[in-house]
Amino acid sequence: MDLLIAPLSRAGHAVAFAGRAILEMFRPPFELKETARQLYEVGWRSLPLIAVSGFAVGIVLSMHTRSSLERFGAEALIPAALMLALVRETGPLIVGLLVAGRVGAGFGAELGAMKVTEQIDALEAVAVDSFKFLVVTRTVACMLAMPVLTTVANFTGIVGGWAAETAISGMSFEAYFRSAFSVVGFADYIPGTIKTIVFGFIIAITASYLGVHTRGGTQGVGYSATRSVVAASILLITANVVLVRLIFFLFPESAG
Amino acid sequence: MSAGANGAAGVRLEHVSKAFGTLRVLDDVSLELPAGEATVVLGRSGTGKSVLLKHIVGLLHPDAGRVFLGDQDITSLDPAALAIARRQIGFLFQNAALFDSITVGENVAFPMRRHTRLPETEIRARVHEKLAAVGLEQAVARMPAALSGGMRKRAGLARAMALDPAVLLVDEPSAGLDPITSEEIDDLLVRVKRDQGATLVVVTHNIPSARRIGDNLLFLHEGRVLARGTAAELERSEHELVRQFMQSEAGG
Amino acid sequence: MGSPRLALVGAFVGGGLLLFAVGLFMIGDRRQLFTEHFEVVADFGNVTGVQVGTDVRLSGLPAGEVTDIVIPPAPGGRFQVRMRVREDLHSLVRTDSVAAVLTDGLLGSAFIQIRAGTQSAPEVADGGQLAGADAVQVADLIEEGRETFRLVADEFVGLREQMTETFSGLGETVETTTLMINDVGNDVRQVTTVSALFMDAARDVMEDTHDIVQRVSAGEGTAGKFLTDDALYTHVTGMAGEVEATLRAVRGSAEDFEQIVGGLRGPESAAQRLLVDAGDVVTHARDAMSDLAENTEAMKRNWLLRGFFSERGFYNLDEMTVEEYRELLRDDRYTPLRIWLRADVLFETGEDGSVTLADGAEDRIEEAMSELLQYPRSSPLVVEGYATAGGLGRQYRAADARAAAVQDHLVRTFRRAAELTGTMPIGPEADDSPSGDGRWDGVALTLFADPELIGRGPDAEAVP
Ligand SMILES: Nc1ncnc2c1ncn2[C@@H]1O[C@H](COP(=O)(O)OP(=O)(O)OP(=O)(O)O)[C@@H](O)[C@H]1O
Ligand SMILES: [Mg+2]
Repeated sequence: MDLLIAPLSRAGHAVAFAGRAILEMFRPPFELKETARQLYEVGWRSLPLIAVSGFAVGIVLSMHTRSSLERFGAEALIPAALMLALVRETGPLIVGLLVAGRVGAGFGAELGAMKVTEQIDALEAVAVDSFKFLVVTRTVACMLAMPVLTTVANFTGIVGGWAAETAISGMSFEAYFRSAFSVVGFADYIPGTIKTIVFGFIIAITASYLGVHTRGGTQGVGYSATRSVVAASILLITANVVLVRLIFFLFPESAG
Repeated sequence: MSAGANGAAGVRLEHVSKAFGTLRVLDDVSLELPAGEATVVLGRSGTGKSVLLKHIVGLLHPDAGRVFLGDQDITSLDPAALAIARRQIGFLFQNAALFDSITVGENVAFPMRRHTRLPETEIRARVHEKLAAVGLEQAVARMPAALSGGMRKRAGLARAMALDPAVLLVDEPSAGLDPITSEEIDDLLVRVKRDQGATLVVVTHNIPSARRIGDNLLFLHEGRVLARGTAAELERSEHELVRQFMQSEAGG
Repeated sequence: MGSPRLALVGAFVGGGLLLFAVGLFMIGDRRQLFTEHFEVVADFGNVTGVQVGTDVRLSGLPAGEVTDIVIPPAPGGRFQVRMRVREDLHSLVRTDSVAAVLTDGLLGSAFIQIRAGTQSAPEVADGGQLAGADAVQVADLIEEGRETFRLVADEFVGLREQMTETFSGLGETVETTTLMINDVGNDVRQVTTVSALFMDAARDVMEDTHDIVQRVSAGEGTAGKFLTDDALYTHVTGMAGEVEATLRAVRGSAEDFEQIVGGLRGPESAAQRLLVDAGDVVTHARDAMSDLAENTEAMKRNWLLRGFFSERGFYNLDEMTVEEYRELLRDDRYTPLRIWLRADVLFETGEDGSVTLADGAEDRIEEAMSELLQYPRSSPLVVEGYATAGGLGRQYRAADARAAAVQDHLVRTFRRAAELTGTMPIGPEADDSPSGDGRWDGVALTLFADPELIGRGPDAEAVP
């Protein structure tokens, strides 16, 4: 019985944690400065990773779409197929997993260390709401950074796709870019990007939850960092299934 | 308990009990820490001195009993009210607990930035003043990780004093300090009490230091207050353990 | 938090929003959300592939999108499709404009084509109604075409027998009356020449008709696929009508002919009339035949290049006559690169008229293609077929077979995309052929590369 109750109560605890984060997001005071600092850490400093990954993924996707579309003699559709794949799923998921790796580990370790060195208590002792100051700011920063990073990855992905294409066919960037947008609709572009806000929430909440509940000293910090990445990635991938279903329901056009 | 002469508040514990799992750390402790006085908490390692301090600042919640800060029962406060109550408390953690992502100066400035609307120049001046008081004025721009244990402790004390608190809780200020610096810190604490009328609660293993600072001393043992009084009174305590403790001049 | 960092955070969020907005704008721009629009409505019985957001085109131009589809309240009702159309095209959308659901190439997506109206009709009002033409399925089309062509073919079989009889009768008559009517001797010789020509023409028409029936039956590899192109439908029905009309003329003339031949001993004027009529008949037959040949090509090309070219607003090979294609070649916007290949080194012609690539032809083609490989594979390539031998019909068929053989080779060996590799059977005339006499026997590979990539004017390269 305990075997069942312990994980359930932990899950309930985590859900309450997430719910509290949502409530606190809208309740002043807003820790704007700290949010901006986190946005710098999460967003700006993830840019090189995301941009390079997007570019590389664009090249690889382009090579794959080329080899499949060539069989049907539909090379003209490569940019559009690439863009569709990027914008709907590949971009959001790749960015989600990369951020889960980089930022999830960062949050888990940083908050874990703050926990075991009593810095979180110290914040409370100087009359700062540590949940707001540490968790809400990180969550908001992550939710803001994700769509931006995804957009960046989508665009560098297109540039990568173009680079791969132009090496073969010499297509101009402008023609490629226009062609890329010839098929995607708002129903592909907007929900695909917006859903990464949910990814950002999941990553930040998971890592923060595991971070602030770190036990067992330095070893516990490492453990929290690892668990944050694993848990955030799994939650993100499973949540994506639900989100895709939801998007198809809300935007039937995107299912076509 | 009413506020002290300079607005300082006394601290009172009523039947406070605290256990971690099966480990009973505080067992029905009732205490009066008078406003404007310095109380030194003594006791063997692991008896619950730090736990006691954390109850006063509301970081730990008693399993039973109540903690009063002035007239306010802080165990019954909601988080927002508790935060307001905490602004009159300064707390030096046993391990200093400096925020390691910002500089020493920013650590000291942190409570000021959060809770005052002082202009930047004023904050700088005060940070300098607090750091100078603990002998760390050169370390203002250094990161906590680059400090020695003793320096960290002093920086933590500077941060605890940043808002000139009415109640200053200090967990082992002289641990890891050389005897001279240790004495300077003791003098500082005495000055803070005298000049600002602050209520002082100091945990220490350093008996000379306890004598210098303490208006009265209390000895914690097995979750209870075993003895209480001035240094002279404790030296004549009926308890062998307390007398032994007081005689170890070198400090533990 | 220093202010440079704050600036970077601002740049991060601002730049991200900007980039996102660029994407929104690109999509919106394609869907023309940022230009003024008016609304029209059209009803369709079948809206396969149409959904909200489906493109609307006007004479091939991107004109707007579908905004709503109202489902009929009961079965058998028609779907009401609401569309937004660019205001600047309003003057072309008249009350007699027709909207139709079409498909972009074989694999393409559905779109709604609005045909520009006529000048005499008033502009359609905002929110006004257009006639909706239902999609025609290629299966129906083939069925209808096959029926027509079978009738036509039967007609010709009958006609040929009748003509043979007439002419053999004529031969006898001429023989037996040579002496009696010396004065018309010359005319009769002329008549026999004309009749031989006529027989020739009639046989060509026969062959072409047979050819068309075969092709349509085979569906050129597209049988069973849906084709929703009313232009093709018009082509086929129009062509069938034309053939029927010509046949009537042929048959009428043949009857006259018989009568006149029967009364050869009659007045001189009758013989004159016979000659004129026979000439007309031949002209008619030739016209009908060349129309048939061209229309057949149009039908076939319709499945080719279409998707690609219309995508680029370039041109539609299928809706293009040889003359229009020639104009395109002369148009210096497209800078075609041409490589001429002679038939005698490329092809072997079988006894049955089938065309296959000769030994060594592959090397020739490879040599020619190596000239073109430096341009993007996505550039459309048209294989022009030329043939000088035989009558018009035979030239067409030879030209077509040659172009098709080379195209097939290009697609298989060079892995060129089929829809980017079209054929254009032209015939004997080649304005700028290297032979210098304005004719060519063989094929020309014509690459329509991006003019910017070529960086030089229209140019012809000859491989002797
Ligand atoms: N958060 C906690 N969870 C579980 N046990 C705790 C916790 N905090 C303190 N304890 C336990 O309570 C007891 C008292 O700890 P405390 O830190 O108060 O000791 P202390 O008197 O300050 O000792 P020292 O002089 O070494 O600092 C110890 O046995 C410690 O293990
Ligand atoms: Mg302690």
